[in-house]
Formats: sequence, structure tokens, C-alpha cells
Amino acid sequence: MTEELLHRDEVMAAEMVGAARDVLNVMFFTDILEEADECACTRPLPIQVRVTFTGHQSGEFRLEVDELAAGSLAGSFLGADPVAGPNPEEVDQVMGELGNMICGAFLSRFEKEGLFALASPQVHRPAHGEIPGIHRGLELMDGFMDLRMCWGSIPG
Amino acid sequence: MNSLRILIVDDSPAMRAYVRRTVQLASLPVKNVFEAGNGAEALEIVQKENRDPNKLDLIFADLNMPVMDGEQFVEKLRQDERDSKVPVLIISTDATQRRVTRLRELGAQGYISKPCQPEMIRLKVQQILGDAIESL
Repeated sequence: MTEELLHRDEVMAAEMVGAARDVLNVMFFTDILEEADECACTRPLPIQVRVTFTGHQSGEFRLEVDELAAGSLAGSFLGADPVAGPNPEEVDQVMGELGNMICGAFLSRFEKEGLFALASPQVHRPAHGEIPGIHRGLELMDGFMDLRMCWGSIPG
Repeated sequence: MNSLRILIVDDSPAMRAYVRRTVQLASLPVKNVFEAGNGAEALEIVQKENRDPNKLDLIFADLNMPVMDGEQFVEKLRQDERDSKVPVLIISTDATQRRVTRLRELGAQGYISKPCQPEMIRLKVQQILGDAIESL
């Protein structure tokens, strides 16, 4: 990979993390503690959200998260009872919405004049399959999250 | 207007719950909250509820939804004279300027891009409903 492409990927990865931070700060009242090229967690993570998008550019965004972080994020988003917490169905629904928001916030940074459409998020348990493109591993207050973005058709 | 009757249109149950909770926490005088998973379901609710003397006061709508999306919903809603005056506040991740301009042309009263703080939703509701809320 050329130096120019590496730089472009680094910029895009930083923007993806920036979009995730915005969403986590504003709607989930939490923050990113650490970020790295690879998630400092045991893979595969148990929950995977896939969001495909079309528009000026098409592709797929994937968010993977562990149970602890997912439960904490869903509880915060829904204002769930801190003892009972959200049920698994609610956790999946909130993770789908989280994937949708991060993908949309990220694309909005590049598509100011364009139009794009996001498909409904698909939640998979456990995460499976990897896609090329940019990725970042995040450490949150209660667990780990992995973000991946691929433009163009997804192989396989 | 005795108290607000609102409709939340979003294919994400989590987002519908978030908006419902935000509206409740904002101490807005909400009497009824209706929910729909897409624009087609929302149109049915609007047509049914607007036969009631206490019509809907505000609709929150997402853009990207299956069956009928937010743009199509606003367009259809504005075609029906009886339902055309219900304000629509769009809440979506798609914050492109072209989209916002198009929604205004179609007749949406407001636009909030996600991520959005609960306070932003409250302010937009007050902006759209204005005096109607203060007189409650």
C-alpha cells in the first residue's frame, strides 16, 4: 500500500472514531478510553451489527461489541432499571441503532452535498466474517468495541 | 389544545423508546404517544386519529425506513388537506444539506440530525409548537 493510501486510511479511521465518539458522548453518555489498530479483546466478539449503505459511494459498516459494553450502552440509552437492565432483545435493538447512528454520522462528514441511504441494521450473534477496509478497536468504560468500514462490494 | 398527542415514526424500537423517554423527561404536556414502524403505518394512524376532534399535534419521523421512508411519508401527508397541517419533525442520521433542503420543500417543519441531545429535541418541539405549549 502506498504512503498516500495509508495516510488516507488513517484520516478515514480517525473520522470514523470521531463519529463514534460523538454518538457515544451525546446519546449514550460515555466515552472512548483507548483506541488502537486492533481491538484489545478476545475475538470473535459476541454481537455484530452490519449496516449497508448506498449513495455516492456504497459499502458496509460493521460494529462488533462485547456483552458487557452492549448491556451498559443499551441501559444508558433506554434509561433502563440499573438493577434489572435491558433484556437481550432490547440490547440488540439498541446496538442496531448505535451502528446506524455511527455509520450515518461518519458518512455525513463526507457527504455534505450528497445523498445516501442506510439499510436497516442487521444484528448477528456471534460476530462472523471479516471485511477489508479501515478498522479501529475501541476500549470503552465497560468493555470493547470494534469498528470496520468497507467501500464497494463485500467479498464472499 | 388540552395536551399533546404525538406520533413517533421509526423502524427502530430503540429509537422510538428514546424519543418517547426524551419527550417525557422534557416535561412536555404529552397525553398520548402513538408509534409506527414506517411511513405507511404512520399514515394509517394519522388518518384514524385525525377523525378525532383532538387531532395529532406533532409527528417525529425517521428517514430511512422500510416500506415507506420519511420523505415519502411527508410527501403523502401533505397531499391530504385534512392531515396536511400536522407538524413533522425529522430525526435522522442523514444530515446532508441536500436532504434538509428537500425535506423543507416537502413540508417538514424541523430537522434534527442524530446524534442529538434530549435538550435539542425539547427546544425544537417548543420552537415548532410555540404558543400552543405555553398556553397549556
